[in-house]
Amino acid sequence: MAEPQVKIIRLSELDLNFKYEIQKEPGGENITRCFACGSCTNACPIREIDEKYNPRKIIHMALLGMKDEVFKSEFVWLCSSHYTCFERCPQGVNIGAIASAVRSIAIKEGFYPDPQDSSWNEQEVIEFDELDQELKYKVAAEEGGENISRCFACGSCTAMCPERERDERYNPRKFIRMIILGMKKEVFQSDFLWLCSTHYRCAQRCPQGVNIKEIMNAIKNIATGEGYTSPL
Amino acid sequence: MDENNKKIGAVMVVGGGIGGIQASLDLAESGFKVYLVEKNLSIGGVMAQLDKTFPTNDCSMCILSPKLVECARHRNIELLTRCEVESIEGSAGNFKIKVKKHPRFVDVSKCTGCGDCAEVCPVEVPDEYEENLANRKAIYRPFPQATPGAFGIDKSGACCECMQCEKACKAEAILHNMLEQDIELNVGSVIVFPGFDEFEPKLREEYGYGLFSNVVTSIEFERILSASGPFQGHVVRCSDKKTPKKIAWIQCVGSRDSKIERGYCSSVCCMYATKQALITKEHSPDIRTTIFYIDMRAYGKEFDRYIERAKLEYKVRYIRSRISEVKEDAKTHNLKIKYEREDGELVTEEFDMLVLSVGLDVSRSAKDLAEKLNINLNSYGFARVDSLEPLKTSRPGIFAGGVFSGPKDIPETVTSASGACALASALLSSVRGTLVAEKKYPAEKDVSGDIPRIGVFVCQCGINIGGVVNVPLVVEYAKTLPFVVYAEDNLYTCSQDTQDTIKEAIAQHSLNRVVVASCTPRTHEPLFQETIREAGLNRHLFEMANIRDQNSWVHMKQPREATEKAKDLVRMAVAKVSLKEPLGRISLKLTSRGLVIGGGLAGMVSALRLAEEGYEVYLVEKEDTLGGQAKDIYYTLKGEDVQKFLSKLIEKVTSNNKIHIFTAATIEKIEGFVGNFKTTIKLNSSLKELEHGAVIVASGANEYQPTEYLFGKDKRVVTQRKLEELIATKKLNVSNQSSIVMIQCIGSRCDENPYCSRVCCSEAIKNALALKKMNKQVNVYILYRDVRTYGFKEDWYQKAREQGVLFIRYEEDDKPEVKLNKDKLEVLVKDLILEEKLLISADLVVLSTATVPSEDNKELSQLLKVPLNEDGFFMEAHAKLRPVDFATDGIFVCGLAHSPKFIEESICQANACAARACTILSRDELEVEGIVAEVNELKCKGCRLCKEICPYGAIDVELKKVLGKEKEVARVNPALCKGCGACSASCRSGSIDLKGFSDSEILTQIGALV
Repeated sequence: MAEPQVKIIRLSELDLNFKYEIQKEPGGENITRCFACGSCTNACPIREIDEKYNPRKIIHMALLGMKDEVFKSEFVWLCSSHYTCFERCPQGVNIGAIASAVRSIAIKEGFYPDPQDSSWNEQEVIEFDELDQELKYKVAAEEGGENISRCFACGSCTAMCPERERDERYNPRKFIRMIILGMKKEVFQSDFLWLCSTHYRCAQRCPQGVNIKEIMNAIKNIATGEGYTSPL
Repeated sequence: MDENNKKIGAVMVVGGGIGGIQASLDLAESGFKVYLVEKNLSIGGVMAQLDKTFPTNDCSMCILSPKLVECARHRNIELLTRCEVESIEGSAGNFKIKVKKHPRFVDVSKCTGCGDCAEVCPVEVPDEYEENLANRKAIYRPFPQATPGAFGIDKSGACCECMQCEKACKAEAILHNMLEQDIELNVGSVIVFPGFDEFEPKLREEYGYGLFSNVVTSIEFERILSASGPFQGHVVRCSDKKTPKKIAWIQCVGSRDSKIERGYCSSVCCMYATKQALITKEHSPDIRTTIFYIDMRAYGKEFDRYIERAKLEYKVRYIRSRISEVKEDAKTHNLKIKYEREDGELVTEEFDMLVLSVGLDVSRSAKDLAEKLNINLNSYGFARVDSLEPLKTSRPGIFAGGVFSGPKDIPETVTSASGACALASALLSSVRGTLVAEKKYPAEKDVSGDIPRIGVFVCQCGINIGGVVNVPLVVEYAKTLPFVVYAEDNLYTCSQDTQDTIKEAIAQHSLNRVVVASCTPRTHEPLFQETIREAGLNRHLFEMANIRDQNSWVHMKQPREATEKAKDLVRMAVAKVSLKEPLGRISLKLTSRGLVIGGGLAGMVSALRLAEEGYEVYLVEKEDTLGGQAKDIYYTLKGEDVQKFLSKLIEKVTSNNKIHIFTAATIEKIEGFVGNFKTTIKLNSSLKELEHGAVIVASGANEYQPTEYLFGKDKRVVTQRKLEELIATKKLNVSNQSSIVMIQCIGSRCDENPYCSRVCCSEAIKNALALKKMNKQVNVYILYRDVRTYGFKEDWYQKAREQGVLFIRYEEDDKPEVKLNKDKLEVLVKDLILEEKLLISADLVVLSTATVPSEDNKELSQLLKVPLNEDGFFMEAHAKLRPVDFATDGIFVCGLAHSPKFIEESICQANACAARACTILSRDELEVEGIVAEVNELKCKGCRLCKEICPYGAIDVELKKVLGKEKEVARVNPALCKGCGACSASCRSGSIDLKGFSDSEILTQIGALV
């Protein structure tokens, strides 16, 4: 029989209806389709630096009905829903939406994560109030910048950037993300903005038609207009 | 049937892949005229592109090419290449079909296939046959064994009309102004096998196909492995043509992916990836191979054993993880993939080359074809067929199979092809033989007393032989040997045009004996024998020297020595053939009746089909009632009512006056041979003798009786079949709280029975869905090792998950445990994702039990003198191309006696058996091969050793007057003799010779060597 040191999860103590609850939430419909192939975990860019980001495991726990553990997992609260997992999932399990579904069920049931209890707020925090929320609209107004908000951070651009291989500063995805968030100062002062040779491969591979080449020009225009120059 | 709708004794087969080829041959051999319509220049389909085939590792082209030639030379088959169906009118029995014949720009009847045209053609375009890894000319032949062997011009943008080819062609076969033609044909039935196209991997662009040069598709890799491929069989990567150190295969690219409308499993990729990894290892043992997969779907006969061999013997690494993206190192062009190991650690690993195991898309021509033929397709665009009528399309008289009706591998395609023939043949049985032509041979030349004049043909086999052996040197050497008057080399001696070359040489040089130095007589001897017979020589004035399998393949690294050995082998063959004498074929009458052993579903379908094809059938069943294992199956995965089908089938079989049923009957003795069997059955303790021409073995299998998991000790532990009965007879109540745990692989994939029982995953899912139908909230757990829902069954696996059925994987060495806690039934299983143990309270534990071979198989196999495989199931003649035949002529196998399978697969095989049997029963007489043993009665001492040794019971000892003295001598029945030579080898007085292999011939052959 089971060795004493191995934890035994008793299914009779779990909430077997949890998966159906998630199914009822928008985006949660396909959760039970998961066949645990691992594409999501293999694709999650955050998993590389933080092993708590393990979508497959969380989905499996949710399917088993381990509600408490799922609520308490940092993953569902930290997941930035950037959908690479969903993009790669052959079964259409929308993990980002499921994380949000779980959050909303948790909150409905009165569960909130205890900030004292986790490591997440020890990290540097970007305060939204200090950012320029207008930046993305300014970019969108420029010629070629229209599609900027379409970016779903799939990473195709960064993966495709030939400069990225040798120089980490070349990170179009991060750059676009910073624009959308309104991190104006960081954007204008970034080396990438002024180094990028705008040779178009990123834009070519973008599944959402975000024209990074034009955006670079647009940003440089705005930056120059506001008196910024290259930090280099 | 009125006069206007008279039945037509011809059938159109659409699609010239292996399925269409098999269908054409079976129909042509059963008395029907066949039009084989193929859109490309040559028949052969995808099989012609493959390197080797699993699980036997046979060379694909080597087993296919004799079939290509057989098709081309069959008197009842008309090849219509470059043709497409335009429209169809009429109904079953009498269709009028318009076919569009696209211009080939080369006259097939004039082209000799010499290739002079391609030599001068200035245009090079990517070669589709080589998956664009090499170029071809605008005037081309897709591959050397292409059938027909004529060239064709690609005018879709390639040909520049410089007319160089026309000038070069000595046969004046090139017609640049050839026009499109409309052909109208009248046929009684249509068989549709359009096959598949491989999935276009650019639809999953994260794998970098087309972007990274070292990412290739599996079909490209087949060409890379092939000795006749773009890299001459050297495993190299595309970027730098260097041998890679590490290759990975990514499974399920374009399969099991509902995101891109390919929710189905392509059924073949797990096995072909394993085959490719294994063959890679055989090419270069230092290459490290890894296969990334979701579930290992080795569900077929001998498949799991093949995987085990790959793991243990060839050290192929299997990693259960679906890869989600590929990155390239821009400098080295190596590929990086990131995956989570089974222990939970995320790793990035670099490979020099990646193979995408692309799935099977239905042929891109299928949609258009289906519209023209007015037949229905399913949601994925494959032919819509019913599980209980798996070969019928929605339109009567039109039958379908192969990948068109669902992803499947070669043997199942071949089976469905033969099966479709049975249905067409049953429909048209009244007009069988009305449109066929007799094969006429020229009279045999009398060569007795003539001095041998030997012709030697040395095959290059592309580079298989030519790349190692100096073939021109061997040819020059052959010319110096005694009695050799002619010798030449051929790129492929087996190709269509070379057959004509051989015939011409026989006529021109008055050859009376022929030697071919090429591959193995096992596959190619009949082809060459037929060729020399067509040229007026007796088939036995022929000898083969195996300079490929036994020379160039094994001495690849010693070309000089291999050339010397080839000379030796040719010299031996020449010495032997010079002594050869003509041997006669024996014609025998036959009994046009069939015997079917086993009255289960497969046996009944076979019997019924044979009866519909016009033959009397004996159906022998050991139980009191018909029905077999199907009596316990109530519904199929798709929901069809099996019991209703079964009772209808029993009614049809019992009411058919051509079928003679013997229940509670056992087989006591089987004597005789193809066309003339005599079987004794025991019926109510009396014996009865049946005479028949063919035997179909449909003796079924049994359900494994478990001893594990408290089965038999606690009545809440039941088998999957029992659960099905409880559900179907409404004896089971389930509530929201009910918890039902199913455990897979009980008695399968274990030491005792190492094979997979194929159906259990889908059966568990079928019953889980039935439970969910009773109560949506019921908790169903399926504890599995790999979910093997291949083909469209994957849809039901998805449906089961959607409805909340939980799948928990376990490992073979850490099996679930079932225990009683007071009177509660509990299941403990280790969850491999959480790395923790789960304890599930169960109201019912359901065991998915194996299908095990019937205990009668051993006795039956001895009575029939046919083999069983290691697992105890009957073993077919060839795993790929003769899936329902035995090596012994006239005996066939279907259903569970062959291996575990689904009802629809049993039905396909049963039909296939009927079609195969029909190729014998439809003949007027049988010709028996002349290679038989012969007793020298003067020397024979009557010691009876040969009689004891003969495995076919072909020898008797009788009292006879020899030279005035009465003595006991052995006598060989030439009809039973298989020519194995066991008697000859064992004879102590040297008085038995095997015709064609006499002591003097063999000794001369050896003498030529030493």
